[in-house]
Amino acid sequence: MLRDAWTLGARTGTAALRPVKGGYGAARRLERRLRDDSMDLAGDAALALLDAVLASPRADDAVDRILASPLAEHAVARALSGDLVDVFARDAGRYAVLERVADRLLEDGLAEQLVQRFLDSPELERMVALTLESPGMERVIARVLESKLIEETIARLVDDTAARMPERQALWVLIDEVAQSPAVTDAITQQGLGMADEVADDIRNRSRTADAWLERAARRVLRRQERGGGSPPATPEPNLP
Amino acid sequence: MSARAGPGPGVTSPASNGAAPAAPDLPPAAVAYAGLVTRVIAFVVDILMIQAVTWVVGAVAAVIASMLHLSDGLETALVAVGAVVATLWAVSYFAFFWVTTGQTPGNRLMQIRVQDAGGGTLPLGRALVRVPAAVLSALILFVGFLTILVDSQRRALHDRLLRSVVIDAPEPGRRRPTRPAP
Repeated sequence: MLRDAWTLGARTGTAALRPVKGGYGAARRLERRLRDDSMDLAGDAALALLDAVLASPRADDAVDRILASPLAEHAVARALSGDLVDVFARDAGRYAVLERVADRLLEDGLAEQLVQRFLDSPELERMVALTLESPGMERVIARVLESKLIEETIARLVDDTAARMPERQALWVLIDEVAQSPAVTDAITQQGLGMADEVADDIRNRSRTADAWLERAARRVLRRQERGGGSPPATPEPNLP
Repeated sequence: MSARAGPGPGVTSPASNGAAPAAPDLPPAAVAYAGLVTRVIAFVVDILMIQAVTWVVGAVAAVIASMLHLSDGLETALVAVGAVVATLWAVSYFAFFWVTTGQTPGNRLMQIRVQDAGGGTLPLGRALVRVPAAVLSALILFVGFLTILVDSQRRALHDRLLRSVVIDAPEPGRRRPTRPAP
């Protein structure tokens, strides 16, 4: 009984307060709409004002004065000396700002244009000439060439090239072509003939030496026999020593 | 002493020996004769060439004969014919070069030349006879060749028999090998 009485009372109260609740909701919606409209109006007014300021011929003068003022210099100095640079560097690395900017530049072709313009500029040629003619560059190149890294790199490059060369069919074709060229065959022939001539000359010289030695020995033997056998010959053999 | 510097062993002038004038392509003042060692080397080179050809031809003939299945008697006859052909080949080899240029390939290598004692190349008959005469000189421990060591013109026995000499014949434009002084 008591519960039924309580339920009936609640329903009756709710029905009685329903108009009040609807009025409150309508007042909330009206307030929100007015606030949004006022914000839009204020934003549009601010943008219109900014456009008017930017379009004003005084704007450039104002910006120039601001940038030329000690205040701007002071502000930049404070910004660079403060934590802003560190924060910017940290956040730039964290959010890959540089990579994104670089990708965007590459996609738009701006980087290519900048590089092309830089390469075409006479300043680059002048800078390169000055750099190459400087004694410092000469010392740097000398140190680089004398460094162990260069030596090891060249040695490894030569080893790799030498190891891979026999595998190249084109190399053997080139060797065959060179070996069969008339100039090479003529040179080899001439060299072979020259060597054969030298060997033949040496053999001839040695044979002549041996001829003379044998004849001296034979004459010594014959004289000894002639002395032991009797009288010497009446007339010596012509041209014998 | 150089061979051209003056008379020495194996170097005579036509006036001194009275029999052998200089060859047409040599200076008339002196003729240098080839010694024993030089002639032996040239002879060995020639023998090697002759034997090389003989061995190759003989090997080819033997292969062909083995494929024909010849009888023993016919094989013996072919061997005899081959020996005769090899002998003729050796004789004709020397005779041909002595008659034509006076220089066999071995002689050309050693820059010597076989020629008539009076100059010029040997006639064919004497060239043909000189080969068996050289064999005759080789008999009895090569005594016929040893006369080269003592003869004023460095002549062997067969050179004396056939009136031939072996002289130095350097190629034109090339220096003559220096001969040491005795």
